[in-house]
Amino acid sequence: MKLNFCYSDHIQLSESLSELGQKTRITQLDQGDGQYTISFQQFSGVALAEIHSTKPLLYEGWGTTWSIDFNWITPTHQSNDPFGFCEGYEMKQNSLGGFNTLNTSPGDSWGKYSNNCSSTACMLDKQVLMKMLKECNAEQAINNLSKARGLDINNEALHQLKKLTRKDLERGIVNPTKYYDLILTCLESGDKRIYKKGLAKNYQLLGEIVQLAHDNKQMSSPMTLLDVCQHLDTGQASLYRVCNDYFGMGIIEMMTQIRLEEARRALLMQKQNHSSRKTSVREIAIYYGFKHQGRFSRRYFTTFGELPSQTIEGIN
Amino acid sequence: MKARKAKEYIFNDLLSMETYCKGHYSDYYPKSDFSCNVTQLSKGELVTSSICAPINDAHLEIFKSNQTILYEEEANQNSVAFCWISNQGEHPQSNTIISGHKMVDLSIAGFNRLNKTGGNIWDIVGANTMLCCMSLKWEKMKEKIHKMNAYNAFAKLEECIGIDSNSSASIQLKNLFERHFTKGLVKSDAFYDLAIATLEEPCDQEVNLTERSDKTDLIEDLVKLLYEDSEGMPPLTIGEITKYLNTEKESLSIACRTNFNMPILDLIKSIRLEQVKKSYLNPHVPKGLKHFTKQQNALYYGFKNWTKFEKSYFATFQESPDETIEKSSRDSVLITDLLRRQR
Repeated sequence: MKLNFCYSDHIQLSESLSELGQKTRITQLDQGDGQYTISFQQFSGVALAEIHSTKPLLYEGWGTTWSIDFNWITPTHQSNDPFGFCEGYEMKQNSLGGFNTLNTSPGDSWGKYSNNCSSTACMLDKQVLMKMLKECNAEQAINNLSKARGLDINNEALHQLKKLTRKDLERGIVNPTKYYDLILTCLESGDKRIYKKGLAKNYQLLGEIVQLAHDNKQMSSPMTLLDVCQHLDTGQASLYRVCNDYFGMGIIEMMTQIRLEEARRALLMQKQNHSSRKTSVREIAIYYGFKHQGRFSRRYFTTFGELPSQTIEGIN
Repeated sequence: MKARKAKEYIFNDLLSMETYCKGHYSDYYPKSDFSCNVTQLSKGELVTSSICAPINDAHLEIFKSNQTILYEEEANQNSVAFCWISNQGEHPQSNTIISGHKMVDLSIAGFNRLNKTGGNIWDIVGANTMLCCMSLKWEKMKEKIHKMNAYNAFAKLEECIGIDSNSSASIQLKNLFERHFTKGLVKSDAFYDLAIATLEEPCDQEVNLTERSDKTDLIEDLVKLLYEDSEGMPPLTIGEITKYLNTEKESLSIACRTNFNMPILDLIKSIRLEQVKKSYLNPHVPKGLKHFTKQQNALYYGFKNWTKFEKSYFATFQESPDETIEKSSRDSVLITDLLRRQR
């Protein structure tokens, strides 16, 4: 299977990713139109996906039942800001992340990537990989995979992995075992980053923030800052520092942005809703915590450049 | 109170004030799409004054009017507003509210001007109240917040509309503002630092704080809705307003009385009277045409009975529609006028 798409709407990325079993919800963390490209390949226990976006994107709900989803970035522009975070692990040019998909339930992982890089996921069969690591007595690799969030790979293995992926995204996956071998080498030889104090706590908090912000049950009655602080058992200053460092915005703004995205997804779903009972814009707005339709429409227009009614009309 | 570079502008009508605000704001924040609506809520002849003393990265202004004024503008992504009143003691009855935050001597409000996902702000400036307004650039402020690790300040900006603060930072901020208008300061950094320090102060229970909420959103939306000019649409009924705002008639009525001290129909009437007045003041329409269409204009804004409208108009502005039209054309000299003088 080989697919290569260029979209003008990031929600379409979710649809392509669902082909690979990734039921991820994507939120654009910046206003305005963008360009989004995805290339993906799947063959015999290996799936590859490379995404590039002209806007920063937050992915929630990443992870499948069958795979460990290794991840890396490829810078496209120079930047002093972080290129991305894979479950809180800062992704540098030599980083390999996504190890947490070994331990978490499917759909529990998240990542945020800037517009200055492409992000690539290499999904390997969990059972096959673990069996291989055990057979090879790759204790260091098993230890790294189960305990670290990511590694910095300062040898040729990651470079070769990137090169192979790029080639295979063009021509199709020829030799799946090469991916297992290269990942094994990376896991065996990678360097653990020296942790700053409090970073592990941040990882946990970040995961909880992303989960809470996407919790459908909370969307109808949006939480106040005080509610969020109590729910996450954290102070507002720490919450804002973490949110700003990792997502570039305050927590309330981020949660509002995610609710807007969810409302948009619901409006787009009208297309697939063949029943005679269509949900009105007002009902959708209220469901996602926007009590006043006028305000919802204004916010929607500011973010997506079109009115909610135009989103539905566009589909029709 | 006048800084060296301060300029004072006097307005006798609110169309001139809106035009001035628009021009002034776009000078200060290029590429912004700023617009505002101003309405006179009390009755009588209007004299409004604005003293502006901008410096790099900070716009500082003292606003005063002899009438109670309702001001509305779109929220934006460029600037944060800090507003306070400075002569409440002399006018204890003056009812100044900034987007739902009732202003007392200790109040600083207007933080909801910064809104990344839409929204609008509204202020009622009580008659004869001196309103001090400081507008700071968000990008610069954000940078300073990060450098100072002042994330409580960030949280307060995102969650609050206004606070009552007696912290030394807020007192210093107000003193600095006053010093600027008497002596003229050159750098804006101290304004930023003190504004952040004011916000960073922890709020104890004694401190009054207005958070952004459904209640404040409702009034913001109400004000926005009442200013909307949908082509050919008759004036909104209360039923339509409650439907648009997804609220009950009773809660709307309470909210309106609490914030504007008047029933909603009176608020609608004030806004529409002001809109008719602005149409009479429009400098791009010839005087003759204004006289010809004056009743049509009133009808457009929902005043079906001309005699009743004239009475309300006079009671509010202390002048008739004809006098407004004449006043608006006073500066232009027509060729026919010249011929008349020659004869």
